[in-house]
Amino acid sequence: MAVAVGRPNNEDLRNLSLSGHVGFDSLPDQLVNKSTSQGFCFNILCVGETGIGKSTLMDTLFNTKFESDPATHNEPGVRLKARSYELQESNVRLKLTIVDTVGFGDQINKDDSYKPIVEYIDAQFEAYLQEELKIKRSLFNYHDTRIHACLYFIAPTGHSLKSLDLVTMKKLDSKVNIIPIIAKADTIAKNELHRFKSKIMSELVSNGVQIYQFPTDEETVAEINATMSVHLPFAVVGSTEEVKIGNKMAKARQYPWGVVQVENENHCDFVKLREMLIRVNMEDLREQTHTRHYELYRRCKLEEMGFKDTDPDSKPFSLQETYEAKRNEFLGELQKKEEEMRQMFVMRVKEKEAELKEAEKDLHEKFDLLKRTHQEEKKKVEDKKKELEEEVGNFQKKKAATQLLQSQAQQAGAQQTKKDKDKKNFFFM
Amino acid sequence: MAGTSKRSTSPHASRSSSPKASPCEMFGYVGIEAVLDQLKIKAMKTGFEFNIMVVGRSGLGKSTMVNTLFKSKVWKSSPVNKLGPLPQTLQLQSVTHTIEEKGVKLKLTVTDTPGFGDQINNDKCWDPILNYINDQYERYLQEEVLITRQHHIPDTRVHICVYFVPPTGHCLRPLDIEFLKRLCRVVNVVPVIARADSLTLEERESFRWQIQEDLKNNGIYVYPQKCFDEDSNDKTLNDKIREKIPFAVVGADREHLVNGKCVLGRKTKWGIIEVENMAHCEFPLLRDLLIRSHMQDLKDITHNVHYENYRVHRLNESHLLTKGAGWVTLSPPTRRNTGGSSRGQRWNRDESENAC
Repeated sequence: MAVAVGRPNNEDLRNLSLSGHVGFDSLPDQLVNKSTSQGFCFNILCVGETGIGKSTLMDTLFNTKFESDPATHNEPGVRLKARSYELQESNVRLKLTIVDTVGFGDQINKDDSYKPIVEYIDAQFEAYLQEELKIKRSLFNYHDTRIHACLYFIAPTGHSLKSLDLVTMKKLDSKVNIIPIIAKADTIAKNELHRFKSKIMSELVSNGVQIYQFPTDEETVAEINATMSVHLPFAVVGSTEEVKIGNKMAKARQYPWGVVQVENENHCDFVKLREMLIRVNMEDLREQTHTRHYELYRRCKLEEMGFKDTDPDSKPFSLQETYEAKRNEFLGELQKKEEEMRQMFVMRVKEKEAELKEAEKDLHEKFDLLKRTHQEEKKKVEDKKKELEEEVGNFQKKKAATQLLQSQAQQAGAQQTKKDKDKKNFFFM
Repeated sequence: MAGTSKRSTSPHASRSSSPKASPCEMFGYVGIEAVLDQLKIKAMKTGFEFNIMVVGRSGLGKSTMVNTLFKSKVWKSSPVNKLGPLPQTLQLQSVTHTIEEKGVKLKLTVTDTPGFGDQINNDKCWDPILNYINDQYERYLQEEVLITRQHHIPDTRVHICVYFVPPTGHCLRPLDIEFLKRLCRVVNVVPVIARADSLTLEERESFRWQIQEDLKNNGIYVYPQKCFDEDSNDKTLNDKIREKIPFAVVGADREHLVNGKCVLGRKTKWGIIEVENMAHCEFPLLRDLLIRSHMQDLKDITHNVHYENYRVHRLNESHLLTKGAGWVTLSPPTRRNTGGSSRGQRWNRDESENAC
């Protein structure tokens, strides 16, 4: 039976008019319901010097107290600390990850300060890429750790950006959405603030730093995004303490000369930041991270690994070949590693044997030495004993001789004395 | 609108779990829920895509059904000339339209299969259809593995295959069973009893019961598959639907006056069969399932399960495929033989629990 597969002939896409209510207008709601049941991930990276107010701002933004201890200024290098929290508002579950740069700006030599940050961001992209390239993968289940927004905290000097800031932002702008903010803005006066902001923006532009652009292509958000963009970088003040203003409690910082209200738009741009970051553009930040920054990373990484897009004719083969090549490479590496390990094992065994032999030899030598010394001592002792015996023998002989002599002498003496006595007695008679 | 802060103890917490996430209470409204609106706006801007395939013998009212579902003339003209001879070969024909309702744009692609089951020898008549479905997966895969890929990969994968069962009133025919067996592993399948106006209500019920038995005995899992029920709510909702599958439907694209109202229906000498009247036929159930409640779910299962299955197979077998020119068409029999390993993770895990 001859079977022909008709290639789908797509007639021109034409708009069809519906004669009644079909019901697919519920599609966005269906989509949203699915998303809410899965939950959302949002990851914020806070880059800024120690003590500039990163943790406080996070606490203020999300209206909660994320427990953390203030960092010391003695860190030897920059390291990134990530913490995850689960927040829930009505039926939306948000898995929020806040990544902090501990020790940023504290070192004397800050040349390498940006490196750990770039490495961290790349590592998250790499993890996602690895998951995507797996054969058996579960992307719908994947806990996305890629950084969606980078809040860069600028110190409120009032003059201009520090060179560390420029260098770091330049390294990060192609990897993450950067939103620059001026921290501790209550230390700058209003007129200085305006000058400071324009100085910063012009420096960013002249150095070619690409910060995150709030999207203006959809009518619903274009207007608010456009108005807010004018106020970049946002000058923020963070505070978790409440002060009584009028008859309400509000988050504020109390000074002897006045009270700085966090949520008062005349005092600082905190409300603007919250609007832009959370209420208006959270989804866009996530999308930009995925479609722009991640795709760029992926493209570079794949090209690095040797993958290529060939022309349409051989597309199915590039897939085959590259995967096969990868598999072979992997197997080769595995074998190489095995060989290495085997060799190392053999070498170690040899070393150990040699060591043991050495030790054995030492022991033998010691034993021999001991034995010899022992024998020598023994000989000495025996010699001495002999000597002693000789002496004793001599002594005995001498003693015997002297005794003999003595006894002879005594006898002789006794006779003599007797003679003498007799003589004496003879005379006296 | 004070934010009520709850500890997240939802059963889905395990889905996207990270070992170090700690629940946090918020002391006031933050505005996180605005992300839902942002999501909606973005989705409505990009628009949606939906691809439906209708399979069945000719004369079962497939084209009419599609017209009724989407309340428009989807086919400019009938894909098969009704008066002419039946096509000698099975041809698949697709047509794409953009329809809009209340600001929601939908790019709808309907694929028809005239000639299916019409030959004297229908052996392997499912092959062209399976090839077509796999070709769509292949296309998507090729786009996905490109180095420089598009922001939005055009989705031509078949999201649902509606299989029209002729209203014999007895049981499924061998052709039906063979086809459904093969297809339910690759795509979401929903069988419907076509031209149900030729069956009385009792006949419908017994036919439906018989078909359900046949499906169960042959290990055919139709949409909504039991193993993909996410939680108890889903389960209860889907159980109700599963009880009624296959729906007994009637299609009509003409309007008639009934009790002063204009309704879609078929006019016969003995009465007017109202398509949207639940007492007459179960078309509303089909429409609700496909469009109003489960459309997104159909797309998700196609993307997360069927497409992933195809991808796993394709990547595992890539070193076995011979080099040739043009597309590499995978023949279904190779994949059937590899049995259990061809199913996705979710499928595998739940298969052991109970039959879907």
